[in-house]
Amino acid sequence: MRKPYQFFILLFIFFNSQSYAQKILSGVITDSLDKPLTSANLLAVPKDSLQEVKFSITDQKGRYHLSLKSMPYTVTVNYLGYAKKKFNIKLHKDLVKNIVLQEKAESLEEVVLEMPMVVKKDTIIYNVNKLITREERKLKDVLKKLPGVEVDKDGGITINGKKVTTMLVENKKFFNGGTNLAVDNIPADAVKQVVVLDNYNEIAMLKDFQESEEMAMNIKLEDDKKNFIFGDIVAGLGND
Amino acid sequence: MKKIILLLCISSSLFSYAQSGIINYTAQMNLQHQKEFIEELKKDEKVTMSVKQQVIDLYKNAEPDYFELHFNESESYYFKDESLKKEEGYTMGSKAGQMPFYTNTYTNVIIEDNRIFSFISHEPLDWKITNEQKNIGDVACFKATTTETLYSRQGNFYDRNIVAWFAPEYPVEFGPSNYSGLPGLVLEVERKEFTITATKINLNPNEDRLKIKCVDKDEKITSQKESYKKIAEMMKDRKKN
Repeated sequence: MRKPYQFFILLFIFFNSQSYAQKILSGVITDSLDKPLTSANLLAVPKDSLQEVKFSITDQKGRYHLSLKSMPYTVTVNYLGYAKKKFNIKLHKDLVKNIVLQEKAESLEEVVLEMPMVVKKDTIIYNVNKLITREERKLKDVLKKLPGVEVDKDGGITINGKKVTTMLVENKKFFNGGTNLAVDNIPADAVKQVVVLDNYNEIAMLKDFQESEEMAMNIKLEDDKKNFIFGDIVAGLGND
Repeated sequence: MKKIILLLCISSSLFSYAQSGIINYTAQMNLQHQKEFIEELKKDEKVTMSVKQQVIDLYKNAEPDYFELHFNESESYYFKDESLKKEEGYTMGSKAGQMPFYTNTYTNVIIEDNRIFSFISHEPLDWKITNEQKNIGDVACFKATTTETLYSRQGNFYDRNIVAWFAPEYPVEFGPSNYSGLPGLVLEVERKEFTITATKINLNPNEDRLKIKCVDKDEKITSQKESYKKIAEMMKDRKKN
């Protein structure tokens, strides 16, 4: 026998237990001299990857506040110029935990980081000048240096095991769109960026409805080298 | 004795001033959005062919925009780098905005330096962090999502889903325009129209390279709501004329 109110009671208990499951972890983050750290970051990553990640940023008095479910979390505490701290926690009741961070000695040095490779949904962009040594002569020498790219001796290109079917230069098909002509002829110093487009479709509107096995490579050229001359000159000398 | 202590205090505060950085971003219009817009325009029968062709050309030749984010321990300034733009009349950009943003984490303000309505203060966004991770360059990033409500010049509200990838490795809460307030530097922002990606991270740069333009306390700052009203009024006036 099923009574409608039983369902509601169950629902009520369910939601109640949900809200009670939230426990609060709070405290103050300071440096080794007891000075509170403002804008320190806390990130609580649950072991169960389907649950939401929680975070907190300390206020002017160094206070933080995390409301966590009672399940295991890994909490990372970060502050620029300080050594990061990591701990595992599973809350059964509210907890106050003060954290002390240690200063890193080398924090004043200048650090420069450049992004050589950017991956978007089905696009990979290689910023070529960060990855090459300037000894390369042709496009194929450049491509061989890019992570995940392979060039075989017939001029075929594979990216992470998938063959490139269309070759574009500045968004236009390079001759018949085959890769072999391009890899042997485009000079290496004219290449600025290599863009790989997976699931490529010439009709853009079909892209979302149709999975394509096509993969295109688009070569972007340096601004001052858009009109390059390609080909090799070979000279020989006879014995006469 | 007191002087020595004072000196010590000053020098120690100078040393702890190590949190600064300059981040370069590139914003690009999404290909999908570009194609969709052109398809829509082609169907529109009110627009004449010549205008259509001009607009299509503009979209097809859209250039990326370059931005810089400068920050110290409590403030950040985000602005467009115009020096990299080519000088060939009007070109289409990335649609990722033109206006500089100033943020201050002590006073909790995000202010847009809008040239038409002076200063507009923005509400912080309500982020949800997922467990999804990916690498941007060599930096591990977490995915955060939110919905932003925007106001169009036609006078209606519309929602946009925002995806931000932030790096807990760089524990500052700054990011491009108003996409900040996450437990780590924002390295990538995806919206329907555009994608903003960090191309260079420079930590602890030379102090005199740092360019942070503060907003004076005396400046008149309008809220987002007020600015919407102003936009609506302006549009009305324009229709009358």
